[in-house]
Amino acid sequence: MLSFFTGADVTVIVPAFNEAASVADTIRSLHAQTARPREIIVVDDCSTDGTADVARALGVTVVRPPANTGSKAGAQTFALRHVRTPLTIAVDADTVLAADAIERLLPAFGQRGVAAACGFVLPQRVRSVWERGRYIEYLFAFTFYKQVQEYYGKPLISSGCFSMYRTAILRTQGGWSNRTLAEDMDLTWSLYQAGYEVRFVPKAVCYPIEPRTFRLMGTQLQRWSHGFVQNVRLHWRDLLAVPYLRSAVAVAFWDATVAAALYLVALPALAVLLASPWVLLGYVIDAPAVLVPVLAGAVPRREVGRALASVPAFFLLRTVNAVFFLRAVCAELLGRPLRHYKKGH
Amino acid sequence: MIAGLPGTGIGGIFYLASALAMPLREAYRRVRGRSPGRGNWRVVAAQLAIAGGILAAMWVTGWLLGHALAAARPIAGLGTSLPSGNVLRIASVALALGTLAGVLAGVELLRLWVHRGRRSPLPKTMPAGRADPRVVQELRRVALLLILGLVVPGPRGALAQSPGRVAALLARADSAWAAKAESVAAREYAAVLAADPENSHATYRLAQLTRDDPAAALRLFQRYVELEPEDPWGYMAAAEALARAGRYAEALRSYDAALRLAPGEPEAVAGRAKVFPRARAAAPAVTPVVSGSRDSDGNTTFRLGGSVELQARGPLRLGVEASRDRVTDGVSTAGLEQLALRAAWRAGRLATVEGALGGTRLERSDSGSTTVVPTGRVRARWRSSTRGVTVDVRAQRAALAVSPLLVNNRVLRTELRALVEIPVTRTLKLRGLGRTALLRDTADLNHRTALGGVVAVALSPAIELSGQVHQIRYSHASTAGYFAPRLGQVVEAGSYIEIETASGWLLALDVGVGAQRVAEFGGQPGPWSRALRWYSLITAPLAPGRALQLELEGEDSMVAREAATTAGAWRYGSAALSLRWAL
Repeated sequence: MLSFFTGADVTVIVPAFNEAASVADTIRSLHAQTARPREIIVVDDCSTDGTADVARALGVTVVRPPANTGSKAGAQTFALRHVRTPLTIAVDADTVLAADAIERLLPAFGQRGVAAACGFVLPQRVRSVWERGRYIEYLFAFTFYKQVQEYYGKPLISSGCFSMYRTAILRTQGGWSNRTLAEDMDLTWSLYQAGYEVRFVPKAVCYPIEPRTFRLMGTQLQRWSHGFVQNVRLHWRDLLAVPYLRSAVAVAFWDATVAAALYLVALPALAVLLASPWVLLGYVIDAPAVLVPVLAGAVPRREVGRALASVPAFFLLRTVNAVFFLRAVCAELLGRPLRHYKKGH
Repeated sequence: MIAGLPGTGIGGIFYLASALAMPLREAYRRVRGRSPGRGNWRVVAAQLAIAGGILAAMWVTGWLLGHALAAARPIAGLGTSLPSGNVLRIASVALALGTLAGVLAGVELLRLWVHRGRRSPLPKTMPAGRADPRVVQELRRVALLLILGLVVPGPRGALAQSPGRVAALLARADSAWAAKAESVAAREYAAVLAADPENSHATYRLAQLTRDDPAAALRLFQRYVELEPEDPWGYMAAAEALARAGRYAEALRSYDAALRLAPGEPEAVAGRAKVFPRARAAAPAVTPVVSGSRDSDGNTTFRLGGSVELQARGPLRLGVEASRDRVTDGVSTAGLEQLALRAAWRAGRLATVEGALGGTRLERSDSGSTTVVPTGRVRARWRSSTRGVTVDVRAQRAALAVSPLLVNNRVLRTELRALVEIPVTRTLKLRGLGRTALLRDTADLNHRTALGGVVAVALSPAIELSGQVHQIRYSHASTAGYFAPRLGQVVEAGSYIEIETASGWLLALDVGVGAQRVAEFGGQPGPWSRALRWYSLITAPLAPGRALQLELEGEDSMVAREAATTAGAWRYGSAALSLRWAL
């Protein structure tokens, strides 16, 4: 029953709400694929900036729900009914793909149990301090963490900005759910619980636009942190039955809560208590260790200079990250969950 | 998105430990025959190198920090010197590992607590007062985690005996599956099912691994469907197993169920399309047939008949066929009644033998007297491989019955024919055809031989173009009612097209356009004249196992290759409608 798919077996869903500025690049990158998808469906989620016109002009199918779905998950699920191919790709409207990205993902579906596959994510633009911080974060995580997760058969998340799914399985899951703010994590964990496999293919590279300002970054981090906590609350019981994933989620949750609290409170408190600013070196004490996977990811891309220049931004972003995670944990546990989906760029 | 804080906290230590454990795990998998090969070692080596780099970076950081702190002592307000760099490093690593071990142990304890209800009852023979060995094993494992701070797999024997560790067993089984270590995977999945009989994932995988025992595989797939009634893949897999077991009608129903859950799923559509003709072929069926023909000499035939096929059991299939024909030329009418037992035997994927044996009752048009003659046919087909040499041999004894005169004269043709097809390339095929026939009537015995050569080019698996040359000879002329020239030559361009849709519609079209000439006894070959023939078959599926079939045939030639023409210039058309109704 092993079968190898081609681009003709793939439909791409591009959810878009007011993405006129970026959706053209996304579509062009899809048109330029070495494995060209059979159909590209742009879901114009009732945009007001002419997103649909831009998409139509580039010759793709545009569908429009009767009213704004309120979330990326809603828009994607709306388009799922139009998919007639065995494989479905979800690509964000601000994400461009490397020319061979789809072709690289396809072999993962040679095994029947594989329900989803995702690729390596790198920011499309690396200019502002926030984009630089995210660049290092991604280089670090996708070069080290995600590769280890893949080896143990449990990538933590099939990234929402670019993932391929087996359509039939996606339908049995009801598409993407908007019960949490991190629909990609929700779907990935649901797939594991249903006994399916998820793959990470490092050579399939995509480039999303990352938040360039603090305001936009804050919006995205708020959504991610709340989404993470919501997913842990939703899935924790069933996750306990999934080996390795339960450990990975536990340490991530620990870091997002206890470690973040220590990071934000204990270090400054210790510095004051000991009257020594040297203690604050604790914020960057792992810089050499972080640099190793970052450089391992940057060297083959010939981006060593960019990586080294961006490392300081990573520590700033990490601190901001800790604040948002801590706030999200407190808000969710205190019964003030975030429900409104807000775009992060 | 990113979860947690990369680089800091225990997440970094967790992945570092995971990466350091990779070579051990890989070696273990290799020893157990589960490693998928060199590719995995590359990943392990790359991650191990990164982990080594991180460890070195941590060591250097600790060393520098130790020296920096030593230089800065005493820190204001503390009044005492800080520990040396080595102690600091050891303390920080111990703290990180201890925290990690604590978190992981906490998760394991939580899992034990949450899933405690899923444990199966203790053996009744266990002495009272003794601790549950599974709990002991779990506690040992948690203790080990606390000590090592690493995720260490528990002892194999303990895992196999602990239903509470189903997930761990499943992970082992999945690893073996991913590594294509099938026997190991089958054993592991069986162990999972022993512990958790309702584990659908293990059920599915074990079914996939039980292909040597189709009945067991089918039972497991059906069990999976019970457990996961919303998963179309279960129905598809069950359908495949049912088809392998020859239960085509059930296989079709299973594919239909899959398609209801996943409309348009290509694998289900393709699987169904593949099974559909087999279902039609294998089910017990009744096939009524009505047909008629008319030729340019004014002869008309009308046939009412049918066949009953018993269900195929293994490679053998039996049936009965019967028909009643009326043949008229507008003045007189003759009749034929045929009854035969038929059998088909599939000797393998590439060889079949089929035949029918019975009798034909010929009723003369002039006197009404009847004669019963034995008739029958045997056909054997063999192919060396799916694209190899093909040999098709047929023997047949049948009454020629396209006109009352032929029936009155009881013309019987006993023929042996052979066809050999040699594929020269993937698309080019050569065919050689030879046939020899005895034509016996009440007063005479004639001999017909035919030789033919065909060069065929397959434009696709469903479309073929060919160039053909045929030569037919009779030993002498006949007055029994069939046209018997000394020589007939046919040059023809032919094409064969077969179109089958996913829903089971089939259209086959065989058309020949060419020229032919005839030399009668005592004469020279005449001029070339046109020769046309066409045959089409349309099958319309009505429901699984039920199909309506229409065959249309036409010929415009002096000497037909198949039929017996009644005159030197002959046009003929026929239509047959049948309904195959699988029971």
